[in-house]
Amino acid sequence: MIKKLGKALTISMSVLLLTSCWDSEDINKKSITVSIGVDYVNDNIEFSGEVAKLASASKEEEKAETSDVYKMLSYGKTFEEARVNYDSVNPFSVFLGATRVVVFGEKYAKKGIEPYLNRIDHLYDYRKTLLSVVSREPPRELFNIKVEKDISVGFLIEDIMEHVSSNGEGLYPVTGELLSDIELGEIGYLLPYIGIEEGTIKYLGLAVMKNSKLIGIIDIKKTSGITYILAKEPKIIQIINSSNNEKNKISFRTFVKKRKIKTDYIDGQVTINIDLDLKAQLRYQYYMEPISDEYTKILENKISEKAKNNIEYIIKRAKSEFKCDIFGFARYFRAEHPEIYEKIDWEDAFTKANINVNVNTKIINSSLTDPNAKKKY
Amino acid sequence: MNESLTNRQIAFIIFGIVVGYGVLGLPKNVTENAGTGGWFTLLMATAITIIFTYIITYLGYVHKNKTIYEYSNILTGKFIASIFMIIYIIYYFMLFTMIIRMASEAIKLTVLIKTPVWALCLLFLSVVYYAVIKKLEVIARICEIYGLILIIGYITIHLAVLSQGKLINLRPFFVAGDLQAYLNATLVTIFPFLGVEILTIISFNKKKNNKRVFKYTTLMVGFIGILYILIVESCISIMGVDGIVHYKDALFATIRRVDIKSLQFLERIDGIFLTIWIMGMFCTASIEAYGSVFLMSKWFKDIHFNLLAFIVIILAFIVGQIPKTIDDVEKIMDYISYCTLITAGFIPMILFLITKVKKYDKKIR
Repeated sequence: MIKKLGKALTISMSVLLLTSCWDSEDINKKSITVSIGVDYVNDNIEFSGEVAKLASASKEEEKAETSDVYKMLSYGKTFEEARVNYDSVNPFSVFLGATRVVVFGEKYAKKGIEPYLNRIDHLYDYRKTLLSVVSREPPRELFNIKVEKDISVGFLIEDIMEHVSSNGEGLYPVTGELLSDIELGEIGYLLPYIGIEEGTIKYLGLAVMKNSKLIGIIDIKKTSGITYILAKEPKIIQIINSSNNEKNKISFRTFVKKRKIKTDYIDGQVTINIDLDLKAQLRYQYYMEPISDEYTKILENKISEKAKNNIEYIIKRAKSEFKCDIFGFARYFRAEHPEIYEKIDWEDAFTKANINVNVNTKIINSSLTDPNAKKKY
Repeated sequence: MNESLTNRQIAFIIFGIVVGYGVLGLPKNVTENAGTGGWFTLLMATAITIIFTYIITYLGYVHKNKTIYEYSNILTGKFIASIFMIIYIIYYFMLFTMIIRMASEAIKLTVLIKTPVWALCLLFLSVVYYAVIKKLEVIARICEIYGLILIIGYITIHLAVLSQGKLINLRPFFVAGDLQAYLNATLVTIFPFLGVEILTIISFNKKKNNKRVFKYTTLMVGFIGILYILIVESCISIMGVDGIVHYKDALFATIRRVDIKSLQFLERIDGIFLTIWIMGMFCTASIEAYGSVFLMSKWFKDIHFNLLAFIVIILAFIVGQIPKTIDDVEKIMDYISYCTLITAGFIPMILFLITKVKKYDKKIR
């Protein structure tokens, strides 16, 4: 009997102690944030964003899903003040774990986004894999756009960036990576730059951040050099003008098969060698033309040349205009020459560095078409 | 009274007690002291721990069916043996008390923000109590089952993490000029291995434990060393050496920075990791609690084992609440970790030397 009582007691104890009791909160009692905008307005920090409007999918099903969003807005001298202001009008506690994107307004980005990145890092419920972007228009305006292509502005931005980066045409820097870059010091980083064009949100290029402050913008048309160096699996479309026929253009998709970055230190100067092995796939020609083996060689050289120019262009800009190592070459140099790295000033060394780019291309297939087919009649 | 275990159970007991709370801050501690060459430091620490393990296993192997209580009485006399026992009892007691407190603090800080620490402690302790009164054999079986889950879990998670990391963060692998720093760091990195001294309270059985027990225990320590290297390297590959040193909970911080899109069910790895980590904590705490209660029961033979365990657990709950802040607990943990050099290294070494000098090993054979 006593044994049974003991068991009953143990079970009831553990039920009482089941610790989530203190932390449990009904989903309807939380305001689930989808996106956050941070900007600077009249010397105040402005939080804007979207909160999920939860609704049953249909009457039969009890599953809640996001169908729409509320807009939120609050001000304060500090993040904390802004949060207090927000809490004083908001009936439910904020849950940040489902946030898709943090949008920094250009004004705020120019003053430095590091405080907010640290906030993301240390607030428990924020995902550290959150996407951060910089917006040309104030985030408040961004969130007022009527979205037709997606659930909300936050989802739209995340989906656009995911689409761009999975296509190998852009970067998807998550907060964790940015923090690693900040912690390394001496290097800059890049954030996606978005804006409103023709009533919808558009990916415009990359925002250059030095010491976590916005110092320049790289237009989307000029970003391929960066993608070749930094993207996980770059896939860049290149159009080559045919030399035989003025009207004709040949479209290639290029992949990076091997990317090798080697550094050296000779006579007090840093040398960085970038070797790229590209594979190019012929997608189509504007007008069908035979392509001989010699002509393939010429095309390969043209593709290499173009990629090399793209990369050299962006390196030149980084060295002279931004004066900042946005490619993270410091990591490579430190790995290979840790003792020299400790002694030199990397920013200075990078701007004076001798950077060689070497691109090799091989055209691997011609998408199952045969431009050299013989004609019988 | 003394229970015996199979070779495999002994190996898993080692895994259970060693791989516990220490893994959380391991990457930070290793990187702080040895940078990217941490793997080398860990290898050195593993080698030293293997020597300790060999000595302790040897003691148990020579003195069959005896635990440290009996053979230290024979080897050093009653007075010194009592001092040793007090050291071990206090050591195990403080260790499991503080580990439970730390684990509760870590859970409170990361997941259950509103739950009070005492509630988490009480929950842990009640489960530990249940395990302790079931005695060593049951704890060993739990360790076998949990150990396997832990090994598979840690390896899967950290390989997945490693696949997301950048190789460049791991370099330079070895800087010859830093050799001195690597060697100095060995002393610090040895603490995550603390726990092998548990072998002193396991009595070896003639039938169950043949010479192969040496292989089991030392290989297990070697395996833990390799697992630690995997954990540290995977964390550095994500965070980089500059970042990781700021996080006392480096392992959590790393895992929260990883998002594996292609493995949807692993998208929030921290949830899975937390479960596994708590299982590890439970193994560690229950073995240590058992060690403390077991050695006490050798003295208080009149008190029923279950009652003694209950008293110890209540005491642990009270002692666990005494430190006011998490920093206090950390300081106590630091002192306890230095104690491990005595309990795992110094005392067994003395007993080992006496055994050798008195030629006990030959007499028994």
